[in-house]
Amino acid sequence: MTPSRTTTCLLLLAVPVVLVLCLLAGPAGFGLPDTSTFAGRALLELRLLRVVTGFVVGAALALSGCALQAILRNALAEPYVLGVSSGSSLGAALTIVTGLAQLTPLALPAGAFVVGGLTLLLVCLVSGRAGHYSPNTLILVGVVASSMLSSLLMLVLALADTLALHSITWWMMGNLQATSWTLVLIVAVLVAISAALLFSQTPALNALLLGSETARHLGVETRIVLPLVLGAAALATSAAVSLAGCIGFVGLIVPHTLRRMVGANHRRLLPTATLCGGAFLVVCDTFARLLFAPREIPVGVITALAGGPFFLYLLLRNHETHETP
Amino acid sequence: MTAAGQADACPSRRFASNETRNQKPETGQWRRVVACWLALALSALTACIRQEPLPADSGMRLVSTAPHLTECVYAIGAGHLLVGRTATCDYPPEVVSEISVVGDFAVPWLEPLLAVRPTHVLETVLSDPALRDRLTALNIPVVHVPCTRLDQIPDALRQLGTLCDRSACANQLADEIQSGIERARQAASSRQTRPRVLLLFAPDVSITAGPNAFVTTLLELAGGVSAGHDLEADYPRVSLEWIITQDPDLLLCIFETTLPPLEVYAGQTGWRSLRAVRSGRVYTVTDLNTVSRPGPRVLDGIAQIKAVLDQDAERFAKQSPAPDRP
Repeated sequence: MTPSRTTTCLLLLAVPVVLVLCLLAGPAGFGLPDTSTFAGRALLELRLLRVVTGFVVGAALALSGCALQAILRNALAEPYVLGVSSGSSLGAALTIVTGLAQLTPLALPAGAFVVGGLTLLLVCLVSGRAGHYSPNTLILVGVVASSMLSSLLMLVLALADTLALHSITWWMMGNLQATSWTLVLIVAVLVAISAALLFSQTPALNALLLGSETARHLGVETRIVLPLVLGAAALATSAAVSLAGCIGFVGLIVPHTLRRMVGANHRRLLPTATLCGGAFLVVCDTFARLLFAPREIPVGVITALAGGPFFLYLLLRNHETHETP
Repeated sequence: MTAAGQADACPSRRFASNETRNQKPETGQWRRVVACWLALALSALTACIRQEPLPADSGMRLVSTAPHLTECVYAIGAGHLLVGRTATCDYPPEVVSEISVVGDFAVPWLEPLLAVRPTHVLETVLSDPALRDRLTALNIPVVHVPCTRLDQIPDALRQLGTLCDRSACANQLADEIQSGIERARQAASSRQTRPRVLLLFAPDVSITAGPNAFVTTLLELAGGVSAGHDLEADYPRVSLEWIITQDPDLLLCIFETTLPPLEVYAGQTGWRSLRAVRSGRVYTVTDLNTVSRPGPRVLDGIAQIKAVLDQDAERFAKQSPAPDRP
C-alpha cells in the first residue's frame, strides 16, 4: 500500500469517529443525552441535526473548492471566487428586507440559492462568450460580479431597518443551526447530485490540471466538461450557502491540505476532501459551541483560526522538503 | 443676474467662434444655458431664505441623536426646541415627523446636521466618538446625557430639564418615574409565582438578554425572572442546546414579526421541544419601543410586560405542566 493510500484510509476511518465524538459534545455536557427524558431526546435530535448540517455544508464547500482549484489552476480558488457567496448573500438579504423570510422558513434559503445560482449562470455565460472559460476570464468575471453584488448588498444594508440589518449580518456570519430536517435533506440531495457529477469527471479534472489545451489533446471535451464542473461546483456551493450562510476557509484549505496529504489524483482527492471537509466543519462547529458556552461564536472564526495555521505549517513543511537535497 | 450675465457673455464668444466653423447660430441652446443659471441662482436664493429664520424662543436649537432622548425632550415639554432628530425617532408620532431627520441612531450625518444650525447636540452614545470633537470644533456643544440604564432615566430627565429651562416639569416627571419604579419593585417582590422568562430579540438567531440589559431590569420589575441571569454579556447569542437545558416557563419575543410569535418557533427543530412552545406560552408585547428604549415611557414598558405575565398566569395557573410529548 502506498503512503498516500494509507493516509487516505486512515482519514476515511477517522471521519465517523470524529462525527460521533462531536455528537457527544455540547454545552449541556459530554456524553449521550438521557433519551428516556423528553429534554434528552430533544438535545440528541438537536445535536444530530447540527452534525448532519455541518457535515453536508463542509462537504459541499470542500468538494466545490477542490473542483474549482482544478479547473481554475489557481491556488487561491475557492467556492466563493465566482461570486456565488455575494449573490447568495444578496438573495438572503432581499428576502429578509422584503419580509418574505418571515412568511416561510424556506423563503430565505430559496432566495439565497436562486440569486447565487443566477450569479454563476451570468458569470459562466460571460466567461464562455468572452474567453471560452479560460481560468483568467472566469476569475476576472467572478471578481467583477462579486464586487457588483457586494455593492448592491451594501445598498440593501444601508437602507434596511435595525432588525433586518441584524438578521442579515448574523446570516452572513454563518450559522449551522438549521431550522428543519426537510431543509437539510433538500440541500443534502443537491450536494449528492453535485458530488456524483464531479466524481464522474475525475479523469477530466486530472487532465485539466495540465491546462485546458493539453486536456483537449488528451481527449477531454472541455466545452462540455468545464461548464459541467462549474455548474456542479456552484450547485454545491449555492446549496451550502443557502443553508448555513457564508462560512469561509473550508473550501480553500481543506482541498489544499488534503492534496498535500493524499496527492493530486482527483479519484482519491475528491472523495477524501468531501468527507474530511464535512468532518472538519463539524469539529470547528463543536468548538464554536463549546469554547464560550453557553454563548456561540460564528463558526467561520474557528475555521479560519484552526485551518489557517495548519495550512501554513503544511506549506512550510512542503517547502522544506523540496529544499532538502 | 450678474452671474447669469457673465455666463451669458462668456460662452457667447466661444459659441460665436463655433458658429463661424459650424455654420448655424444656435440661439435655443443659449436660452437653455441662461435659464439653467437663473434656476440655479433662484434655488440658491430660496434655500438661503428658507434657512434664515427663527431661532426658537430661547434661541436654543436642539438635535437629538437617539430616539429615547427625543422622547425625553418632548416629555418635559421642550419639543419645540428640537430642530433635528434621527430616522428612528417616531414618538410622539403626531409631532416628531415634522422635525428634520439628521442621522440614524447614534450616527449623525454631518451635513444635514449643520444645515439645521443646532446650538446643542444631545447624545447618549455616538458610533464615532471623534464626532464629538468635530462638532465642538464647529462651535456646536455636544451634550452627553447618560441614559442607557433604568436608574439613569430620572437623572437624564432632570439634566435635560436644566438644559432646556424646563426644570419644574422635568423634576416632576422624574419623581413620578422614580416612584413608579419603586411601586413596581414592591409589587414584583410580593408576587406569588415568578415565571422564568427567556427574552428573545430575533426570530432567526437565538439572541437573549443578560442580567444587566435594560429589558431584563423591566422584566424583573414586572414580576418575572430572566432565564439569562447567569450570562455575562448584555445581548449574547446563545446556543439552542443551552436554551433547551434552561427550559424556561415562557418566551417573550422583543422583535417584530408578521406571524404570531408561537408560530415562529412551533415549526423549528429544537425550539418545538421547549415546554414553553409546547404549551403555547410564547408572547410579545404590543409596543416594542417602550420596553427597549430607556425613556419616559418606561412605566408603560413595565406595565406591558406585567400584563403579559398576568395573562399567562391566568391561563396556566390551574393547568398541569406540559405533557412529556408534543
